[in-house]
Amino acid sequence: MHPLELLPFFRRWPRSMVRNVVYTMVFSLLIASGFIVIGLPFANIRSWSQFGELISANIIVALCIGFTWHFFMQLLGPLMRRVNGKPFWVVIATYTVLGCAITQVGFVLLSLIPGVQFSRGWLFTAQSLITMLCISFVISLIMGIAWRSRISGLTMEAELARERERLEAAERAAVQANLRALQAQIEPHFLFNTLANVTGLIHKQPDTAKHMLEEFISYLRATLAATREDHTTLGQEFALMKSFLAVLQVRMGERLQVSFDLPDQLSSMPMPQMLLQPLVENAIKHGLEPYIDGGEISLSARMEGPLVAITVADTGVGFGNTTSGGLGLQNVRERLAKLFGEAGRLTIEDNAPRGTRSGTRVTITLPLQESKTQEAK
Amino acid sequence: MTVTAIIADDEIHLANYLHERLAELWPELEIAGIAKNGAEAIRLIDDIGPNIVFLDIRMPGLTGLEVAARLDRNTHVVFVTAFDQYAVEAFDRDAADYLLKPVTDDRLQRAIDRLKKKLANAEAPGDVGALLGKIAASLPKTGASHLRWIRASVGEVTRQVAVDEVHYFQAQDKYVSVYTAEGELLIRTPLSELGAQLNPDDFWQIHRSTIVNVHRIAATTRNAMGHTLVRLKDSKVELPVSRAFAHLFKQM
Repeated sequence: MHPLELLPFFRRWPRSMVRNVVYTMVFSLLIASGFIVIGLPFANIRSWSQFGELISANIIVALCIGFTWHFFMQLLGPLMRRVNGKPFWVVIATYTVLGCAITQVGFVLLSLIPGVQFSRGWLFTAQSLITMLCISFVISLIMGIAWRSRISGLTMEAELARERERLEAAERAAVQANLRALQAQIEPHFLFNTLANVTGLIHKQPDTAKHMLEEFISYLRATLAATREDHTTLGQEFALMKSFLAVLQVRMGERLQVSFDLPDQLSSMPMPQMLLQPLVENAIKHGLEPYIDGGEISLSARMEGPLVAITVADTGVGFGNTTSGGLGLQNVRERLAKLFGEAGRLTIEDNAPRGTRSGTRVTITLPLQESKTQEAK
Repeated sequence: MTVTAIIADDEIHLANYLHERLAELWPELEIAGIAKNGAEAIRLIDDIGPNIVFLDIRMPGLTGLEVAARLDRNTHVVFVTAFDQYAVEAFDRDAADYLLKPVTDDRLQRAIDRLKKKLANAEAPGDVGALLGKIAASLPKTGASHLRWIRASVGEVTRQVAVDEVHYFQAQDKYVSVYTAEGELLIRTPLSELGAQLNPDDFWQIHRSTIVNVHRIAATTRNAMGHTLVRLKDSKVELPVSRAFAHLFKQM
C-alpha cells in the first residue's frame, strides 16, 4: 500500500508500478509544500528570486528523499510488511530511524548532483541528525496514526460486511424454506387429485365427499397458517399430518392405514415447521404408493432424556441398497443440523414390524423445548 | 362391433367416476374392466384386447407411461393425469389423447368424439412409443446424481447413512467398512462401485482400499519412509496415500 492511499481521493486508481511512481512524486511535492509553508516565516526572504530558490530547493530535496524512500521500500518491502505487524511504538521507532538514515542517503545523493549547491553542514553532523530525527519522528507519528485508523476502519468495514452477508444468507434461507414449504405442501398432484376425488364422489357418496373436503380444508388452513409462522407445536404438526393422511386415506382406500402416538405432555412443545411433512410425504411417495398392497404409516413421538424423538415408520417398499434419491430427507437433515447442531439428527433404519417385509423408519431428534404456556406458569 | 375399453387408475373413486361419466356420454362403449395398478392393466389388456385404454399416469408398480410403452399398435391410449406439467406439454393428440383430472364432461366428450372418428375410419392408433420418447426427452434432466445415502448394517440393525457423515471408506476382505463419528458400519458394495457413485468433489480415492471424505481431511504428513499420510479431523487416524494418488496432495 502506498502512503498516499491513506487519503480516500487516491484510492480510486488501481495499484501499479507507474501509479506508485506518480504517487511518490505527488507525495514528495505535498511534503515539500508543507516544509515551504512552515519554513516561510523563518526564511527572511527579500526578493522573488530568493522565494524561488526556497521553493526549488525544497522541491528538489523532497523529491530526492521521496524517491530514495521509494527505492528502499521497493527493496525492503517484505521486511517492512513484517515490521508493520509489530506494536505501534516499535513501528514508529523503526520508521523514525529508517527515515533518518534514508534521508541521509538522499542528501548524499543530492550532493552528488552537479550544479546543486548543497551545504556540507547537513551531512553527518550531530545537529543535522537531531533535526532529522525530530522531523522523521513527527512524520512517522502522523503517518502511523493515520495508518492505524485506516486499518481499524478497514477491519470494521470487513466485519460489517461479513455480518450483513450472514444476515442476508439467513434471510434468503428462510424465504427459500417458506417457498419450498408452500410448494411442497400444496403439491399440484395432491391438490388436483383430491379435487378430482371430490368431483367423483359428490353425487354417489356425498358424505365421503364432504368428509374429504373438510379434511382438505383443515389441511389447507393449517398449511397456510404454518407458512406465515416460523414455529408451530408438535401437536399442530401432528394434526396437520392427520388431515393430510385423512385425505390420502379417502383416495388410497384400504391401501393406507395410519396410526398416531403423541404423548399429551409433548403436544404443546414448540418446533420448527415443515420438519414432519417431508418425512410423511417420503413414506407415502417412496414407501407405500409404489407398493401395490399399500401398508401402514405410523407417527409417534417420545421423550429421550433431553431430546424428543419423532418417528415416521412405514411398511412400504423400503430403501434400496444405495440410493441417490432422498433429497427431501437430506434437506430435513441439513435443517436439523443448522437449527440444533449435534442434537438435531435424522436417522433412517429398516422397519420390520411384521418380520417378513421391511419398510422404512425415519427418526428425527431435537432438543426438548419447554412450551410457552409452561414458561408462563 | 362393440367397442371395448378398460380403465386403469389406482384411485378407485376416480376410476368409478370416469366409468360413470363414460356410461353416460358414450353408452355403447363397453367397459370391460378396471385395473388398480399397472401390472393389472397389462394383464387385462392381454386378456381382453380392448380398443381403448384409459391410463392414469401415476400408478404403483408400473406407471401409465410404462404400460403404454408395452402396448402393440391395436389399442388407442388416453392418458388421464392430475398434473404432469412436462408430460402434458409433450402430448401430441394424434398419438394419444390426454385428460386432466378432475375430468370435465366437455373435455371427455371431445376425447370421445375424436376416438369415435378414429374408430370409424379404422385408423391405426398413433405411435405411442415415439410419443413416449418425446415425453422422456422433455422431462427435466436430473443428470447423473451422486449417492446421498448408503445402506449399512450395525449388528442387527440396518440403517441409511448420509454420505456426508462418512469420514472414510476402507475395503476389508469381503466388506467395505464405513467409518462415521459414531463408529464403524459394514456394507457389501465393492469399493470401486462405490467410488463411481460418490461425488468426486467430496470423496477422493487415496489408496487402492481407501476413499476419504475430503471435508474430513485435517492435514497431510510424511512418515520416515517418505510415504504421504492423511490425517483426519478430530481423530488420530492416519490413512496412507499410495503413490498413484499422491498427486492429489501436491498442491496442499
